[in-house]
Amino acid sequence: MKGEREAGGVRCGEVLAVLSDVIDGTVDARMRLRVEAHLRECGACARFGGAFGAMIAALRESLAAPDAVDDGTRERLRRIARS
Amino acid sequence: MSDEAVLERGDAALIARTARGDAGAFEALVDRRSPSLFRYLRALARDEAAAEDALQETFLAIWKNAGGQRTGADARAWMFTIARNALFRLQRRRAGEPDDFTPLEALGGDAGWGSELSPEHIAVVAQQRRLLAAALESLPEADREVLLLRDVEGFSGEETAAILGMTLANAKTRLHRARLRLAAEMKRRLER
Repeated sequence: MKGEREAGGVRCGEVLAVLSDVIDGTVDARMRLRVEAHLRECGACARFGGAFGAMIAALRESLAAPDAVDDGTRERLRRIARS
Repeated sequence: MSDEAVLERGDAALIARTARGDAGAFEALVDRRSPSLFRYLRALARDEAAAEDALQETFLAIWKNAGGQRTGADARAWMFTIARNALFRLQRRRAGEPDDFTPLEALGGDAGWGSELSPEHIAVVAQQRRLLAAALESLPEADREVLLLRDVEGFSGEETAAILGMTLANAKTRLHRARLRLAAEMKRRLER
């Protein structure tokens, strides 16, 4: 990446690699602290990380409620147990 | 206990009763889970008719094999695994896809990582459900599937990996790359 830098003990590329783990809360504590330190110093990574996290949150919220299947399909499925 | 955890416990009880031939329990399972299973199949297949056929096969398999499902917290994952296998069987497809060797930095760059420009547009576009759904639908099948399971249906990383038949590490890698491609797709749509 053009302008990639090291801050907080990690490089921008390393932050990119663990970004999903950070958002999902599955990164180990040591790396999480390093990433947080990096984001305090690197504006580009902070902006991208914030937007990336917002996208994932929006995906989880906006598609959370599935549409019902139509009545005909549901009735065919229910009949499986009666045949 | 979360709403989903309450439903999950209910699924296990309904499956146990279905295994004993309780048609009412099976019908309750249909009413409760057919919407999310159909959404998953339709998004995966991108073919309404194929998704309907797979949904029928899914519930046929649930009715026949309910006795083989061990009780516990993975009842919903079990149903989604059956659905996935039903669709692949109908389409006679291989379960896996070729590995993606695109460098992570290239995927990130496409999504706006490292750019001087503000990537907030990714978040802005994400607020628009229609554009988000369209962006998701345009992704390759492997990307759609992991995003559907992990982020839309809310399965854990371990459950997602089990449904996909891969290790947790591979599932996490696939998920991250899929999320980056989704961000790149939304960036591209906004810049049209």
